[in-house]
Amino acid sequence: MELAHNEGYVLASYAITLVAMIVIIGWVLLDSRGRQRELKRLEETGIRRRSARTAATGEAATEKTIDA
Amino acid sequence: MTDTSLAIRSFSDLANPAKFIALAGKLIPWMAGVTAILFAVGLWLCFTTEGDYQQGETVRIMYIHVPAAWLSMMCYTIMAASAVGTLVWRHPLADVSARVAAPLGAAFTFVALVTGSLWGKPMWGTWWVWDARLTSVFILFLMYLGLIAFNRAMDDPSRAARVSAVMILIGFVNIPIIKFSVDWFNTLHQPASVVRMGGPAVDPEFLRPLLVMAIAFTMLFFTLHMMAMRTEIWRRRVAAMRRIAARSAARGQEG
Repeated sequence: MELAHNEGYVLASYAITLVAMIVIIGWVLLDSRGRQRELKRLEETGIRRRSARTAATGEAATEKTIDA
Repeated sequence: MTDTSLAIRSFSDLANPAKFIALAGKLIPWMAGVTAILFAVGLWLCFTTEGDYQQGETVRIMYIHVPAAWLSMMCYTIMAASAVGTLVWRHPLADVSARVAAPLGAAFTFVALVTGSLWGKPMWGTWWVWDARLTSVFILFLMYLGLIAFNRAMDDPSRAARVSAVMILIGFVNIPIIKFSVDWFNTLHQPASVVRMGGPAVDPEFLRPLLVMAIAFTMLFFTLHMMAMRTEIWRRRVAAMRRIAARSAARGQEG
């Protein structure tokens, strides 16, 4: 009876740890996806960072960067 | 700036955000895979090894409590090292590292506190005592939350970086207090039994799952830390691009 009682503490510990790990893994993944999507959308509109402009060759180095 | 290849040739190349992102893209899948395998083996060992003759089943809480507690301190140590990088070399990647480590550290500290409480109730007869070890870990948890709140309150990450780094370094005094609190003060918490002079005092039966789980948690931390650093670099790029777009739009309206 005492043993079964203690197993509850063990299960609760593992369950809470699992939930906490799922939360941080999920948060890191969702944040990563979200920022990646934003970056892609901004690049599609033709906006370039200064360093990206100098690294690229030719027409990307021009001053006018926004097409829309 | 003529070298545009993304190959890492020296340690200092890691400091280049574009090269860091390229390296992270290659490493993250492997690190995630190793983490998953380690957790599979570790959890199997956790539940197949024998219970303790005194503690019974509750000894299994140790396999998550100790790695989480160890990571709560390692994470802060990484943040302190990053803070030195921010203050001495003023490198933006050091700030990125410190900033994204805080929520991870808070999560592991939370797990250490909760599992410790769930272990304390059946073994000590109480959920919580305000003794040196438990209180100092609770303060660590509050410091993580404080740093997260500060970083969120500041709009410009480059301005937040130096203040945040100073706060991290001041808080680092807590880490040796946590580590040695069980030796310096009379606490309910047991003294160190794995990392101590004279070798581990834990039976190999318990040491094996503990070590595998400790490595698994550590790998999980490094995988998440690298992913979160990459995301933070992307976040700053997005902010920079939006500034450029806003400036260009304003110029377009004037002309």
